[in-house]
Amino acid sequence: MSSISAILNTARQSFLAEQTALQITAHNIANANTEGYSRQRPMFEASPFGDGVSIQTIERLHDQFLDRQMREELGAQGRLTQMAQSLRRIESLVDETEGQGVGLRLQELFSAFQDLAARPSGVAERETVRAKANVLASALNDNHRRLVGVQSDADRQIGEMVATINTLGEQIAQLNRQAQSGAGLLDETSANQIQDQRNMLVEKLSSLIQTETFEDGRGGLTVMVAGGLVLVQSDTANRLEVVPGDSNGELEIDYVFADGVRQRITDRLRTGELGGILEIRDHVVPDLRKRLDQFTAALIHEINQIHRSGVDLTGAAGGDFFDGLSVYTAAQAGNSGGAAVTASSIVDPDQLTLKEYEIRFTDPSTYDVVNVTDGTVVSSGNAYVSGTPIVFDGISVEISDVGGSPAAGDVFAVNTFSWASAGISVAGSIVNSIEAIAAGLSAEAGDNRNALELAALGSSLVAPGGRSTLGEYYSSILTDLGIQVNQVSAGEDRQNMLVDQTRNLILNLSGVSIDEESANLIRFQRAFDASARVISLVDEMYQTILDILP
Amino acid sequence: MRVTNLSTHYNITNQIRRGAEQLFEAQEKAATQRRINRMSDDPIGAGQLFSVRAALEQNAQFQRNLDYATGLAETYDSTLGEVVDSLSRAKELLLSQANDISASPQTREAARVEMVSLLQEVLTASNTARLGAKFIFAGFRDDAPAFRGAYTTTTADPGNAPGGAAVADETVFDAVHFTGDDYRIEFTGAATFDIFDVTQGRYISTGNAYVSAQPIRFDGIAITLSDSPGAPQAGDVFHVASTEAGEYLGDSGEQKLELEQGNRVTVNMTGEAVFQGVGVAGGTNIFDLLNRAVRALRENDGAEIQSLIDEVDSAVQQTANFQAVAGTRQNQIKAIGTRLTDLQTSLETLQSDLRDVDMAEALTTLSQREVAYEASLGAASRVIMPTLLDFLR
Repeated sequence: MSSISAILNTARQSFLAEQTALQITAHNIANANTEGYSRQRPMFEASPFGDGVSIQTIERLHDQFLDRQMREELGAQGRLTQMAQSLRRIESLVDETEGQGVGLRLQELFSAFQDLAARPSGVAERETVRAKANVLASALNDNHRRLVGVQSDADRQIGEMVATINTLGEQIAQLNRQAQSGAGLLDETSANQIQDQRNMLVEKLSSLIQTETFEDGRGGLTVMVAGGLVLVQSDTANRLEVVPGDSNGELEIDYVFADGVRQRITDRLRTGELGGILEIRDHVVPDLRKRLDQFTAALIHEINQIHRSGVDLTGAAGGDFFDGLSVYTAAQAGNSGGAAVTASSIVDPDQLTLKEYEIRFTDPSTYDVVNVTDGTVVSSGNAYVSGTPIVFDGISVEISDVGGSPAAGDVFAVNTFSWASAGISVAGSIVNSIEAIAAGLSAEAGDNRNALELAALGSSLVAPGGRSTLGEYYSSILTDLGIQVNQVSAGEDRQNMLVDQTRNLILNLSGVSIDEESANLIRFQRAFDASARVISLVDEMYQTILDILP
Repeated sequence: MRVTNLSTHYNITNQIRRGAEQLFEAQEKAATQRRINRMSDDPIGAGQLFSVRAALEQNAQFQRNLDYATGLAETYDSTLGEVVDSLSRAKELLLSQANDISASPQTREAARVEMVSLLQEVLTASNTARLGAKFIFAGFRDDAPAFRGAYTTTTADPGNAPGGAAVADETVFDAVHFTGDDYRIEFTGAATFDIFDVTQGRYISTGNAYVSAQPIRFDGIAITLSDSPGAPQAGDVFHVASTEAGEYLGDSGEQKLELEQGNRVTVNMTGEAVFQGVGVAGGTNIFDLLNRAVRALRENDGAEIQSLIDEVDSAVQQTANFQAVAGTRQNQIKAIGTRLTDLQTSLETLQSDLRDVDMAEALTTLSQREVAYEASLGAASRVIMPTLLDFLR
């Protein structure tokens, strides 16, 4: 049964509905350039009683599955961007394209040895040899210092990233609180806005660290990082913390549970900027340093061997030409016994192999010595006595029961090349006097036989692996670095395109098109006009009725 | 697909950014004229470039060694040539003085004086030094002369009264009058002495007055005795042993230099080989020979003079052989030099191929990318312009 007031009611409802629709459209247009904004759409629903229209919901056009895809892509992008940036920086630190650098200095040293062979007792020639050796050692020291600098910078960045992650967590928790406490009280537009903001925060988080989310059914978003650790639940945020590492002072990352229990998660971080910077700090740079140290150790060892077999101008046997070889030991992380290395030294430089060794304990009183590089056993079944030096291949290592005896399965890594780039320097005796340079096999002024051998070292295949010269080996380290830079840069470009494509897919659904919204404006405005028209018509109808009365 | 404002914006900015990146890359190559400005531009090529650069540096070093070796070989060549001349003149002298009929003690004496000066010439030649103080015939001991001139060694007789005079100085100051004989200085009193020639078995002078620290001169020798700690006494004897010129002070060291990769060339000759014939089949000791010639001329011994002539021939041949060795070395070095120069050229070509950009190609690419960039900017401006609102009036 219809009545005029019913028509008025219908028109009024429509009036308000179209007005709301116009407001939503205006909101969309206003946010056409807002990043992360999902366009909203009024869902008109006809009244089941035939008396009008109402807006039941304001739909937020957003696809959760695209979100998940986006987060994965952002995680990969964060990692690759961070790695590419760091690698390009590392490349610029050791690049030799302009003509400076270790490769050239190495060749200049060998040239200086050639000049020495022409005039073994010449003061100028000897001083040149010493000067070029100094320059080469400094260049290697510089390389080492710069790479360590990259690792320290990584630590600083890690600290900043973790702080950012914690801040994002807190911000998400705050939004959760707003969403949950205001559930039912907030209008839908505000609820949609909270969802958009939360999504933006999660996207930023995904760039930094691996992130998964799910709605908790009460309006809040639960956020998990690093494969299942809860960062945000409802309105509480947990934290990550950076702590100084045990062995080398580098930062580790801990996840702190609500009850204060900590879990070390550094090794679980594989994606995101955090994953990228950790890979640089813990894999890329250490690998590069290891290869450079192996190069430097071979350089020191080979030159020293030749120099030691010569005689200097005073008649004394030649000593070391370069200082810098030392024994490096490290207890493996999983060792459960209490023994530790208490002393180590090089006892016979001529026997050094510059390979990697391990001292492996098969039980608390027996150990094997293994050459890990070649995969051979140096000696096995040795009886262990605390404090007694273990001597092999020119190295002496002393292990003692510092905190207890060793346990079966304990492993100690030993080598003679680590930190060689940091330590290489011209030997003290030569720094003090150029006469200590052993150019000959006798003390005669014209004896140049040792200088000839030193000069010929530049063309000898003495680099690690035995298949290249020292200069070629160093070049190959740089070439491999260049290839790595290219690979990661290419990966970065590809990943950037993937992110762009996914972004386009998201915008395809959620983005605002001003043209579309303008068309909507017209549509709603027409309906608004029509409803107003109906209202004024009803007004005339009332008037007509009233005019019936005298 | 819906085209939204933001997606249009992102796409345009991405395209412009990529265009700018490519343009920058092309600009860099054209401006630096290098294909490789950092390792990642071409890692393999960069590695090869480093190797080529190292090889060029090594080649330059070999060329320096080569120059040094060439100079040395030339010095040996010219020095030995002078020695051959001296020895040839010696042979002439001996020939002219061999005949007892045509020669006389006077002519032989004149010849002897000239022979002594020839000996000095050869001695000087044997002590040739390059670059200030590198004696070329001394083996490894090249910071000191290779051969010693004539000298004496004077010693006090063990039977002398203790606390007497001692030898302060001794030199051979006149090679012409030097005989090479051994002597005794016999003190007949605190201030008188006789000089006895042991080799010839006769007194040269007697009753000489002794003054402390004043040189005693005889037969080209000057010996200075001084009253330290005290004066000589009658019966004191000083033995004077003479050594003729030509004692070798060097060693047998063979100096080599690396003149190209893996090629070590001997660059020196030892005095003991050249002048003493050590290690030479049928070798002649030239100094010994000349000393004997001087002695034979002094002793007026025609037969001895005659027998020396063949030995002088051997000496000349020996020296000429070594001179030929120096010449061969020069040729060898020249051949190496040619190879080094060729290597230099091919290395420089390789370096340019690896490192330098083809300017025509670079400029073409640059202008292509400029065009592409401008096109993307133009396209961007066309997309942004009209909206529906412009048409709603």
